[in-house]
Amino acid sequence: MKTSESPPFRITPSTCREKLTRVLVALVFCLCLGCHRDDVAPDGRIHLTYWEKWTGFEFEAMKKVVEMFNASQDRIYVDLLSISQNERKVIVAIAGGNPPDVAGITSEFVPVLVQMNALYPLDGYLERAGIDGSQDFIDSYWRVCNYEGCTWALPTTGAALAYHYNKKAFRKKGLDPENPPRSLEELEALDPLLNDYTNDRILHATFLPSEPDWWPFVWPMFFGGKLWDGKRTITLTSPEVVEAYEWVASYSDRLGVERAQAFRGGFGDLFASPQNLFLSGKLYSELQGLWMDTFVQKYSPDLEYGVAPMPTKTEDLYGVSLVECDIIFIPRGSRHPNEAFEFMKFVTGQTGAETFTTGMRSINPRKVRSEGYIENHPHPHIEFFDSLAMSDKAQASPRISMWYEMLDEMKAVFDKVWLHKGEPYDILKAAEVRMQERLDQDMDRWESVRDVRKESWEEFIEKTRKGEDPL
Amino acid sequence: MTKGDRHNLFLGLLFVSPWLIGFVVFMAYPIFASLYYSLCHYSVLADPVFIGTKNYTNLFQDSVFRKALTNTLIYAAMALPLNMLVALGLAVLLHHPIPGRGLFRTMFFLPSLVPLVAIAILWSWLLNTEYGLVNHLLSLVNVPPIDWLGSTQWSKVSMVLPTTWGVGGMIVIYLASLQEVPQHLYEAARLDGARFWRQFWHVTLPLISPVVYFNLIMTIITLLQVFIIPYIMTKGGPARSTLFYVQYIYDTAFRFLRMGYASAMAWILFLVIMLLTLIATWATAKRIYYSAD
Repeated sequence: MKTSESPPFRITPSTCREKLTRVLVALVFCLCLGCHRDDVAPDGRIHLTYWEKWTGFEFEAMKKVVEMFNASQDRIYVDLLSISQNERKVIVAIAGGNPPDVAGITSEFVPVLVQMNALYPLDGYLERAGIDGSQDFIDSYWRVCNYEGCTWALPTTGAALAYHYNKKAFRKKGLDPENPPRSLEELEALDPLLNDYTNDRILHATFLPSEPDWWPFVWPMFFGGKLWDGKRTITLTSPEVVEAYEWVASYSDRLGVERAQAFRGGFGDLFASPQNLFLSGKLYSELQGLWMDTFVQKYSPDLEYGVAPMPTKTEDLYGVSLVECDIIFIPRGSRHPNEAFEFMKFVTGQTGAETFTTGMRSINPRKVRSEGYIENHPHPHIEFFDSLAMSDKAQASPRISMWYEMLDEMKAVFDKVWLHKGEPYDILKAAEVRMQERLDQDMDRWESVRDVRKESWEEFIEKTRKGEDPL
Repeated sequence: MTKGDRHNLFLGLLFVSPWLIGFVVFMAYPIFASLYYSLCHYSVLADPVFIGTKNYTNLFQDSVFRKALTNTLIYAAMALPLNMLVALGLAVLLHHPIPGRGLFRTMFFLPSLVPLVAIAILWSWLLNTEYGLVNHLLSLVNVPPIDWLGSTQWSKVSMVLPTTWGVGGMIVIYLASLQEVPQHLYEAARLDGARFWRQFWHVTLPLISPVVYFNLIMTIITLLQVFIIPYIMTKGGPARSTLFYVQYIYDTAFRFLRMGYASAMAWILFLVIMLLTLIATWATAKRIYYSAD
């Protein structure tokens, strides 16, 4: 039914258009404002965005270094952001055209990021700044920053894995706490002395290869084995690797799969907790990183523990350790790579590195340290961990472009071996076939683009060597 | 079309434009883009390279893909009947006029409001081998402790329990449909001597069959896309026994950065869901009674 009256809310076309135009203008303005990144600080300094993966006290340690840098500068200002799973988010940010200017991740991701063309090479900057990384940094940490003939990152802090053992428990059972086992044979010989279990549950255990389960790929290292030849061949069925996983299987065999699983499962896979198996004194020894001391101090300050290299198959391997480091790099698409390198230089320089690693209670990746640095370091075993990292026997994770896939595959291998889901050789063979296929695909693809990539890297290096704007 | 109609059309389109733009940008474009990427090698940072159907052929040779698909189908086969029966059974019980009915309804609905992440963490503790409540209750009847999350035999069952705990949404839908069943049909059935089961089988079930069908389809879709609970509780372990399809898609896309391969997997999942939905529709077609029929 028509009425002569206009609806009360009716608006005239002209008013409507005006209002809509205003709304649209406001919307566009808001969108522009949201997309805008303020690169210049109120004091006229260039703003750098720095994504670091740490939270907690580690983040505070880096924050202190950033504050020192900002205080030392009148040209550059660094905004530090804590971003978890940095390596993935940086890639997405690069793809989206808005990456941070500088970012920090762990070193095992360098190959994948390089092959994805996600980083800027640093060679030109280093040459211009007169920095010789091979002289300045510990070899094992410096090596992981290099890939395909270029330097992609600088190490900020280092770590190493070692055999942690409960001295008090050793002493109580009549063992010399200052002489931990050196060989795997000696380690296994401790089982009858220290293990304590009933028919259906383990009360105390000497050692568990499954605790923690963070490095399922690490065991071949202590048998002299490698997961791949560093080129085009996966070597999971090499005798040393097979022997390593047979050794893993022997543990769950001796302890009983169900009992061993229940022993771990009872604590809900806890790490940073007083209920952690090692911290609570139920597991007498384990392979852990130097950060364990922080958690000992926090959750079990009365635990009297010692550290030593992980026992090995043969004496000549003794001292082998998995070393890891954090790195800092310039993502492709960074808007201020020159300034980003200035900041990286500071963070990895003498003052920056020592401040950060003291706060982190970790290894300083620089070879030369200031007087009193080691003596005043808060980690009680820093000299020992330092020696592991500096040793010729220090080994990094496999530097393979498909690291995540390899890691997942080795986790599945470890689980199957541990749970006796087949013979170790058969399990490793299946994984080797699968990983070899993937490596072949990756290498073929990489070889098809490598030359083009190298040309663009050379161009960037040349410009930065001359001090020109590389972008 | 008059000038006024055009004006109204313009205004109408303008006002629905936020949804339209959102649909095109966040739904339609990604769907078609993923179809194209499934035919490419695409690692996010480089341009996609067209490789034809290679991703699809590689998928069928990928043992982990087969494992993830099998795990998902086994999980769905366990969870689907359990969830459907539990939800329907509870709805029928909660439909009866018992004292405190409102309270019980609220109690059974509450878990479905809990975020999935919280449910996963809660169930990780409930299923803890040594300290978990589930093993404690089983120990009261002399059942030895079960390694729910650490053994390959029990890990999938452990994933089913949390989903069954969250069937509150389904219960509410069943309750709504149960209230729509005309009472005179029950009276007539009772006069004919029908007891509870006969009433349920011959009156209730036929009349709520469209809702059963709806819940069946939605549950199939939800179960085949399970992700959060296994990702938090086991991360696919042990030995990939809880590696479900969507987690493999996620890993492939966002950890391995093989977007083309992940897109191909997503399309295969779409086809599997469509196929199962069609089978469910065909299998139930003659047993669903719409009130208008």
